[in-house]
Amino acid sequence: MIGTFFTVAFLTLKNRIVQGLRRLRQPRYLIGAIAGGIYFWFMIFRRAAGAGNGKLLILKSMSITPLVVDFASIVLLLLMILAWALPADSGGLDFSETEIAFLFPAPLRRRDILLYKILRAQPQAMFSALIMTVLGWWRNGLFVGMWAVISVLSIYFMLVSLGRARLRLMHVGFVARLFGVAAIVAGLYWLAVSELRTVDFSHINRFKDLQAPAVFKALNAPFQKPLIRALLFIPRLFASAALPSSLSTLAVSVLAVAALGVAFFFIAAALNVSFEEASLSISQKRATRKDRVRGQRAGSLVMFRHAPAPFRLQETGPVEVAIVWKNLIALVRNSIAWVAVFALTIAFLLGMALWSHTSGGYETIGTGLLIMACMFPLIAPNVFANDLRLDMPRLEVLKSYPIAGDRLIAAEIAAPLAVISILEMLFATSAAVLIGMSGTTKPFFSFVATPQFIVAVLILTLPVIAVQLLIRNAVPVLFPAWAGRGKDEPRGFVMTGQRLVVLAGNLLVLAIALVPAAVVFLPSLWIAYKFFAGNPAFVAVATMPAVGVLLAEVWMGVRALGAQFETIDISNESDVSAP
Amino acid sequence: MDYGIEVNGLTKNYDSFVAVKDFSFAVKRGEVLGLVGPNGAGKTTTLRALAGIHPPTDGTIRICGFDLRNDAVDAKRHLAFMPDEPRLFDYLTVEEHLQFVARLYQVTGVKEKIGPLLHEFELADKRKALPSELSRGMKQKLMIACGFIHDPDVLIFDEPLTGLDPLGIRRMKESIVRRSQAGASVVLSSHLLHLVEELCDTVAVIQHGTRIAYDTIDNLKWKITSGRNDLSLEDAFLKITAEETPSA
Repeated sequence: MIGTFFTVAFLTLKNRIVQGLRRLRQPRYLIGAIAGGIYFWFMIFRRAAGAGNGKLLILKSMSITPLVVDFASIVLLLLMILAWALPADSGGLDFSETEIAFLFPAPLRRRDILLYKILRAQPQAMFSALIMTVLGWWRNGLFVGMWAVISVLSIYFMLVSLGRARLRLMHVGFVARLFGVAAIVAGLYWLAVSELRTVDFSHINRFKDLQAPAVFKALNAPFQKPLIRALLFIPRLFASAALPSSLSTLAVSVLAVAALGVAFFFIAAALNVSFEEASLSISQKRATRKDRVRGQRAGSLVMFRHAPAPFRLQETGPVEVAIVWKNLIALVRNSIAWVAVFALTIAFLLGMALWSHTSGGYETIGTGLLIMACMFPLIAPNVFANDLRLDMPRLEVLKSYPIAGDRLIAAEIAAPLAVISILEMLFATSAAVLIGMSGTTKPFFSFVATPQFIVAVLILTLPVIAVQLLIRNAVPVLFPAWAGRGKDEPRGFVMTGQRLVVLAGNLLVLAIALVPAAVVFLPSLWIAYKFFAGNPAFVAVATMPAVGVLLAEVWMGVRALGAQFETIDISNESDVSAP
Repeated sequence: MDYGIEVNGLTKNYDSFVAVKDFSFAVKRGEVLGLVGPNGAGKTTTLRALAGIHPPTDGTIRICGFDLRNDAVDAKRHLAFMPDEPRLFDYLTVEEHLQFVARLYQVTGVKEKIGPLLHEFELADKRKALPSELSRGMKQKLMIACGFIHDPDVLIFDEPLTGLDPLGIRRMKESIVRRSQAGASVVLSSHLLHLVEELCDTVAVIQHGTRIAYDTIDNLKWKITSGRNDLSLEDAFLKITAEETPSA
């Protein structure tokens, strides 16, 4: 049986790696992998490698290891004891739905299933140990020691989980366990304090020029007391395996920890707790939680299911209105919390400014709101994704509707555009009002405090937000496989790389899109200053040409994206498999 | 002859893989065509092409006389596609789904239509429910109800009975028959050959993307079984596909 389990664990790991490598034959994954690889290299590995010669390995240079091992042992001891005080006592273990479907009905003993669980956890334990080793958190790449510690600790916590369930069967409930653990911790504390009283620390204070090694030795002294050594014996084995002072210590500690692992396993198996039903419940809860988190990330989680539709949909009229209506419902039910967050932020800042009742307070908070007004059009399109991005899982149905691609795209971005624009106006108006109340005479701020500023914000930010939304909606249309809809979507650094590429592409396209508008804006601003200063037509003359350019870009973008939407082949791109 | 669907030389490639090759057929108004074939034969690809979901690599598709490539919107106004997996909007209630789809197809008198449709599909008490509150079968029923709200001339079903309970299956079959009798052209793909035999007038058998048989059910059985009348469509299907499968 153990051979079968080894094979399953090995094949799972192998297939995952092979699948990941095969994906790299497709450019979209390869680009993501390269970008992700570069990112992680610079952010983590290179930093860690650089640190290998520098300060991070201070533990080694200062011979502090014994003391760290001592303190790590105390932490481990506490964790190992406190685990018995956790409320969960169903004995449920963490299995995937597939494992439950295959293993639980199979003619296996509970011991075999526990063994499978341990073996299945090894690739993850190895990976964690590898990361810790590469990061240089632990000295000299002590991969084997870390692996042993992670694995055996997980077996111990599995034993504790089953142990709590066994205690429940013996009518020892949570409160009794809590008291038991509290008594043990109190006893340990009393013992530790008693032992520490017998140690003389006074010489550390006497010698101001005392060398660090001597201080460490003094601090280490209490841990040499026989009683404390005995109490920390098992946790110290773990700590020594993770932080060995020499190779021989590593070898001995790893062997001892492995022996403990075997012992823990047999004790866990001997408890013979019926963990199947509770494991099933844990698996279902985990799946629900996973869906919820995914939904929250994708903005598809329905938070307010009874929120009413924002308006009544008439039977006939432009088809686009149906899409806007649908997306506004999505916004009200999925993302209204965000609207509340932004609106409350504005209300809070306004309240603070009014409470301060000073010119400086008005100006400072008004400036803050002005900065937020500048940032909001860049951030908000990511927050309010109630558009085509939300509809990607239903692309198949969406494509069968009688609506042309460009009209659909325009309708899809309309709802978030309206909501973001309203919030943007709230930010800008609040800033203008507060800065106006401050009575400042600074040239730019004088303009901010005018109605023209609010009008300028409205007519300039609308197309900018539309461009932003268009770019974000272009990603699922142009790169559907990067929109992350399927259960087989890439994970890890490929996903990170894809996100980085999308982010960089987003900024690049936005910058390029703004260049023509900026080129037109500067001369029109000059003309406005020269000939229309103080005139109500000033804002119109200064902004309209740039707005015209941006609107033309949006129109062309919608047309191009619509045409692309018409030809998008979901079977080629997504998890909606074909033929 | 008045055809709801006319498919001529439909070919669909995924890179170098040929999913459907030179597939032609036509469905008259009031006719029900069964599209059958083994897993991976190209049935779903064909149905998606018929619904305008993905463009064919080659060939033409006409829905009620409208070319699906050149007059996509007009063609789509006449059809309804019911996929095998109900893909509903998580945030719309049952009633809102119907209102939304009705507006897309410019349906008048929606209120009067929604009630009977919900009753027909046993969803009357789920009017205000979100998809997360529906079972798999109920979702399937809602998907089909959405397809029926605009009384389409062409109905395309991909495994329409998946997840339905026995009563739901009976009602679904009755709905399909009723709509075909009212003049709708229906294409349905299913592995349930007794259903195909019961509902369909003609059948197209597809394997490895190629049409290997296309006839009325009676003719097909007659040809394949050399005039024996005690064999079912299932027997005929197994015989055809076995003949076409290259031996190892």
